[in-house]
This record gives sequence, structure tokens and C-alpha cells, in this order.
Amino acid sequence: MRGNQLRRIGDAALLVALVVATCFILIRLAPGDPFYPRLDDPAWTPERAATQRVAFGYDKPIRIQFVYYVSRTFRGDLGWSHSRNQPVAEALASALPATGLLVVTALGIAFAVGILVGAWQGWRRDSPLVRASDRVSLVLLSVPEFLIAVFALMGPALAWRWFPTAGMRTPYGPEGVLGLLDRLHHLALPALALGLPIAAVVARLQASAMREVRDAEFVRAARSRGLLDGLVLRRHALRNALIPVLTYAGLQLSTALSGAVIVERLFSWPGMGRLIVDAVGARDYPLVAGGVLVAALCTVVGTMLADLALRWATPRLRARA
Amino acid sequence: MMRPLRAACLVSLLASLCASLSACAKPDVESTPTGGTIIIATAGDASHLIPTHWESTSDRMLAELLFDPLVEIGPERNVFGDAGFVRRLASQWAWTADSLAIRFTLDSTAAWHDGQPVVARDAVAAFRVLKGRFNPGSLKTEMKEIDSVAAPDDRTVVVHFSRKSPYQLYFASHILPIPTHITDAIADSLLERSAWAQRPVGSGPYRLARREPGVETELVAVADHYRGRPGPDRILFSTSPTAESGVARVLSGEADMWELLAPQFVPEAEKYPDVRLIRSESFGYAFAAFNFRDPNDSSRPHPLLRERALRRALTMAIDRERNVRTRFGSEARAGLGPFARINSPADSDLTHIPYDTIAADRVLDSLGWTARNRDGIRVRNGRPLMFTALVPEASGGRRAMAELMQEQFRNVGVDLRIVIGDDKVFGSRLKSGRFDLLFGGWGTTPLRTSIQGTWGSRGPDPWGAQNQAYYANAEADSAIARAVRELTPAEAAPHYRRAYQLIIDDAAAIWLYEVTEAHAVHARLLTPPWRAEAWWRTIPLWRVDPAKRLPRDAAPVTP
Repeated sequence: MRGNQLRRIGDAALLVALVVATCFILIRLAPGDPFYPRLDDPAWTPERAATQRVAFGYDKPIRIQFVYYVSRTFRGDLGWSHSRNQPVAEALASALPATGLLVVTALGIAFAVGILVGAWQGWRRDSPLVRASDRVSLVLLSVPEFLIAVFALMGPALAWRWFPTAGMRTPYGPEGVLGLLDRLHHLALPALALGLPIAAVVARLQASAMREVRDAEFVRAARSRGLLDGLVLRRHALRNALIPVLTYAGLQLSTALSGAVIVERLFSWPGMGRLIVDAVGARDYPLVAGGVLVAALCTVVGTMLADLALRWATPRLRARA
Repeated sequence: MMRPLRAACLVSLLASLCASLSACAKPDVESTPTGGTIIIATAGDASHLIPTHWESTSDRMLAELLFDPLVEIGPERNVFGDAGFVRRLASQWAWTADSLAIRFTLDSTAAWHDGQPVVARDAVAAFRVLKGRFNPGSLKTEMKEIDSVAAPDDRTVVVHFSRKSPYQLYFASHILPIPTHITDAIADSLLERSAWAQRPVGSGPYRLARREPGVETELVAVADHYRGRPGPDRILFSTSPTAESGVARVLSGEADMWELLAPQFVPEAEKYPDVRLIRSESFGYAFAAFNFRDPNDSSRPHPLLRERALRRALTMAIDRERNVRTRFGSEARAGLGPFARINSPADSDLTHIPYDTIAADRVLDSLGWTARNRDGIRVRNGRPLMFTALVPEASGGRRAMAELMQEQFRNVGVDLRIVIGDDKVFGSRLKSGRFDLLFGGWGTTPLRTSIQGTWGSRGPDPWGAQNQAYYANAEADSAIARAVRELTPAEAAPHYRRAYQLIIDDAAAIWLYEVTEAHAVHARLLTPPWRAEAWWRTIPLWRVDPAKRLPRDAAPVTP
């Protein structure tokens, strides 16, 4: 048991190291570097850029830069962000909570809505309402999430003014309980834009699993014992039908993190997605490497948590462990 | 005789009429009370807040609100002598008898945000850092002609120049003193990353209250500023990663301004009565420059584009006016040459190579490009007449121009291949010279001498330092050199005009467009005349219409 866990942790660490190393090399192979000119900058000179490259060690071979990077990272120094002119750790520390809030809320919405709707769709026999909801989920599944985000921005935010268009809070807005409500108000649209496409997938998986379970022997046995329909659904059917959804959940953290890149940019949400995209555009090597490291760690931890949840829901796996 | 009661009624009626009329009239900037919070949505964030290290317009914008210079160029944008320059930290100035130095007397009331007086040593330190080898900032060009800065006493700054020039005061205006009572303890090499650089103590009308790099920066008014209290209590610069989100913030009223509205957003913005569009001429111009060197070996001339007749024929194939109308409507005008209209309004009547496809065909035929391949592309000695255009992804206007020109070139049998790259890819190819046509643009300043670097032949600094396409014309260089030496705008103008005409006649580039800048500003802001070269400089004079104040205007100021 312990050996198994250690092996999984070792695998995860290796995965993170591989991801970071690959990004470290790829970003340096892309044309340009942090000191190439901004567009139409007449003050830029090659001499100025060369001086800066030497100062930050970018004139050295990539393998030497990587060795420096690894040794610095193990000492807890993620480097200096050229585009933000601040330590990378500080930049990440300010962006990570924002992304965490957005992604966790979006996944919460996705799984709550997806499981409830999917369970209802699967449990109910074919009806016009089930068919309609199935089509809605199909549409949400088919439309790219950036388009959902654009619609959300243009309609509910800009045209109807139900929601704010940008940021995490109203500048100089209320504090206390009203401040909390204000933050929720700002969170609603980005979280829905990010969560709804995932909710559609969850709903379809859940509905399909529920249809299989609905007519299973143990469910029929429960019914024959005279249990109420709702009780059979909650206590027997849903728990078994959750297994494919929980397996899928482990993969959704990385999906949500990549979706956050677009949603954060559209809603000016000051999170990791926006930070990393800006950093790639600016070839801010230390910030890209730091961002990828944190994102990879989050994904690995998220996957492990999903594994634990799966084990909780599956007595067979628990027994094997 | 009028009865007293009736007279009183009439007077009160007149008074209430006057009052209601004055309430209806738009309040003017000067008489409106100060206060309020202004949120400015910006496309990019500053990476440096200190004036010795600025690298971008965003850096400069914040640094100029946090720090005052010795003097500032006036709204007329004159850069010759000292006409129109306005006092800032220096209350007066005078040239020395040999015209090689300017003696500034500091305002005795000028103080840093922490209350310490501004002293002459502060200007000396700023100059030392600006010129220093640890500083990658972009003001080195302006500092080039300044030899040294001295502080004979606490209130006197003497700026020494290497040669006589009409632009001495303009160059000196780029020295924004830094507080030596803080920076003396920091080595110049560490200044950029110091705690002071992250939270600077400045001398400008605003001080830094809060900053989250890449997200937002809050400045608050310095109530006891030596030049008087600035208008708005607070300015929040809030970064929007996409133009769509930035524009949406202004249209929804969440922000008060979006600094530069792209032409495609103008029709939408015009539908919103709460948003006013302030238009100003641009200091930038876009062009498609012909590469004069071989893209595969920059030591050799370009195998085709070295021919002046070919460049002129290619220019004749392009309908610049129509292209600009198609892409921008009335939001831009065709480019005039290697300059922006705003800097040279008198040169709008220069002679241009006309749009004439028949003449273009004739010239191309005469150059031996008579045969055509299956695609209709001209061929000479088995080689198709094909060029590669390097276009920046970030410029929608230039991308559109490249596509329109591709079609027009095809009509005369020329194949244009377009390579679009992000800033860094563009910069990388630009540096290596791997292009035939460069879809570039220059943001100019009121100082017209920058043409030495952009279109002057490659030579000793500053000649040709930014001339990425290696254009060279000795006659144009000579005209530019004379223009730069002249002491008045009137004397310099004919030489600039001659240089411009030579460069246009040479078909160094196809002059694409100059955009009319549109700034989306909420109607609740009252602004003085817009300063096209640096709109942020008037922020201390902005006012918030008392009738349109929002809850955020009354929020307490961050201590």
C-alpha cells in the first residue's frame, strides 16, 4: 500500500519535471527572446538587447541555463519576471488564488449541475423535457468555450448589464457581506462560461451511467423491497453511476485550467491563464517556467484527489487497496 | 411703476431660470470642483514605474504622473529653443553665454512625496542612472548630447551639452530627478529591482497607492503638491488583456476610458450616448518598406528590389487610398511619406507615385518580366516575380493592408507571400533581414530628427540605427543633416521637405496609412484640449461632472 503510494508520488514528480523541462526548452526554441523589440519601438537597439541577454545569462547554452534554473528552483528562487519586473514567485502568488477560485467554482458548478441533470435524465424514462435538456447539453458540448464566453460578455454583461464585464470585484465597491456578494456577482459569468461545457459532458456521462444502473438487478431488488423511488436513486443507483463521472473528474482539472486561459483573458480575470499567455507572448522565460511548474503541480494534485474520490466511491477499489 | 410683489416674483423667476439654465449647461473644466475616481482601462501594463528606466508608453505614462521633470514641452509641441516649454521642478532657466549649458533654478517649494525637498543632486543622480551602463532604458538617445549635469548648489542644476543645438531644452526635459535621499543607498545596478522602484517616492502630482503588476495600479492625488492639487482624487489604471474586454468595460460604464479604440470598435462605441470619442491625429505611420539587401545575405544588395524602376512599378500597382477606405473607412488616411502629418502639416502636398496599373504593367514589361506562368505570375529567366512580406500579427491594419495589396499585386502579375508573426517572431525575422517587404510602422515624437535613424543610410550612430530595410540615399541624408542643424522650424522645414520627397520618389516604401486615434472617454469626464503626443499629461486638469458622480467617486482615499 505505502509502496504503491510512493510509486505514484514518484511518477507524479517525474511528470512535473518532464513538463517543466519540455516547456523550458520549447519556449527558448521559439523565435525571439524577452529583449527583442516591442512593435515599432524606435528606441530599441541590438546593443541594448545584447547587454540584457548577458546580464540574465541568456547568452549561455540552453543546458547550462537549465542547470542554473533547476538549482535555483530547488533553492526556492523561481527567478525574475522581465515583463512584470517583479519576482516570479510574487507574480504567481497573486494570480494563483484567482485561478483557484475560478476553476474550483467552475468545476463545482459543472459537477453539481452535470450530476444532477444527468442523474435526472438517466433515471427518467424518455420524455420531451429529457430530450430538450439532452439537446441543450449537446449544444453546450459542441460550442467552443471561448464562444460561450464571448456570448456571455456581449449579452448578459454588456447588452443587458446583469453582470459586470471584467475583474474580480467592483473597484472601490462595498466591503463586508455586500463585498462578498459583489465578488460572487463578478465570479458568476466567468465560472459559468468555464463550467457549463464541462457540465454538459458530465451530464451526458452521468445520464448514460444512470441508464445502465436503472435496470440493474440490485436496483430492481431495492425497489422490490418496497423502497421509495427517490431513496433507491440516492442510496443505490447514484453512487454506482458516479464511478465513470469520478474517473472523468480527474481529467477535468487540466481541461478547466486550459479553458481558464481564454475565460480569464476575456473577463480580465487576474489569474494564472492570463499570466502565462502574457508571459509566452513576452517570451518571459522565468515566468513561463514558473507558471507551467505551478499548473503541472496543480494538475497532478487534482488527479490524485480525484483518484481518492474514486476509491471512496468504489468499494472494490478500496478493498483492493 | 412696478409693484414690489410683482417685481420680486419677476426677479425670483429670472433667478430660477438662470439657475436652471446653468444647471443645463455643460460645466466647464476649470470651474468644476476637484475630486472623484477615474478608472482608465489600458491594453498593457507598465513594467517600470521609475523615470530612469522606462521602456514603453505605459511605463512613461505612470512615471510622468509620479515624477515631475525639470521642464515640460508645451501643448504646441515646439522642440526648438524654449518657446512654449512650461515650468515644472525648475522655476526658471537660462542658457550660458557659450550656449553649451542651461542653468535651471529649482522651485523652492518642490518636494518629494515623503516631504523631503527636491534638490539639484536629484537631477544629477537621474542623469547618471540614465547614462549608466546598468540601465537598459530607452532614453539614451535623448541623453546622447548631454555631457554632464552639475549641482553647484541645492537649487541650481546645470546641464552641459556636447554641442550647440536647438533641441537642448527638449533633451533636458527628459531628465526627471530621482530622490537621492532614498536612492543614494542603492547601487545603480540594483536600482531597477529595488524596493523603491516597486513603490517609488516621486515628485509628481500623483503618488502610488497600490499596485498589482499586470492587473492594476492605483495613484492618488498629492493634496499639497507644489503645483497645486490635481483634479481627480484617484486614478486607477486597470489592464485589460484583450481590446474586447477593455472596450466592454468603458461601454458598460465600469471604466471611464479606453486609451486607444481600434477602428473596428468605433461604430459600436458611437451608439453609446455615455461614451464620447475624442479624436486626435496620430504620431504613428505605417508603411511597407522594400528591403534593399538580399534576405539570404544582408551584405549583398537585394537581387530585384535594388532596381528603382521595379520598386516604383510595384508602388504604382497599389491603390493606397482605396485600401485605406476599405479597411478603415474615415478612421485613417493614406500615408504621406516617412513622417506623420501631425509633425509636418505643410508637407501634405508632396508629389506621390500615382496609382496606375497600366504604367506598372508597362514598366514591368520593360524590365523583362514579360512571360507569365500558369498562375498569371510574371516570370523572368525562369524565376517568378515573387516577394515575401513580413507582417506583425498585432497590427490588424497592416494585416489587412497586406491582404489587399496581395490581390492588387496579383493583378499586375506579382506574387506576394505573407508571413505573419507575433511581436517576437516579427522582431526575430526583422533582425535577420529575412523579408522582401516589411510592413512596419513608426511611432514618432515631435522631434523630427528621428528620421536620421529610421530612413537615414546606415552609418555612425544615430544614422540608420532603426533602418531595418537598409534604404540608402546620400542626397536625402544630406538634406536631413541640414534640417537637423537648422536653428528654427522655418529654416529646417524646406530641408525636411526635400528629404521626404527624395525618399518618396525613390520608392523606399509604400506609404500605407495614418490612423486617426479615437479615445473612448465616458461623458462624465470633463477634459481640457486633448494632447495628442501625451494625453495623460492633462490628467491633473480633468474633472468629474458633479451631476454624474458615482459611488466610487466618494470612496475614501487609500492612505
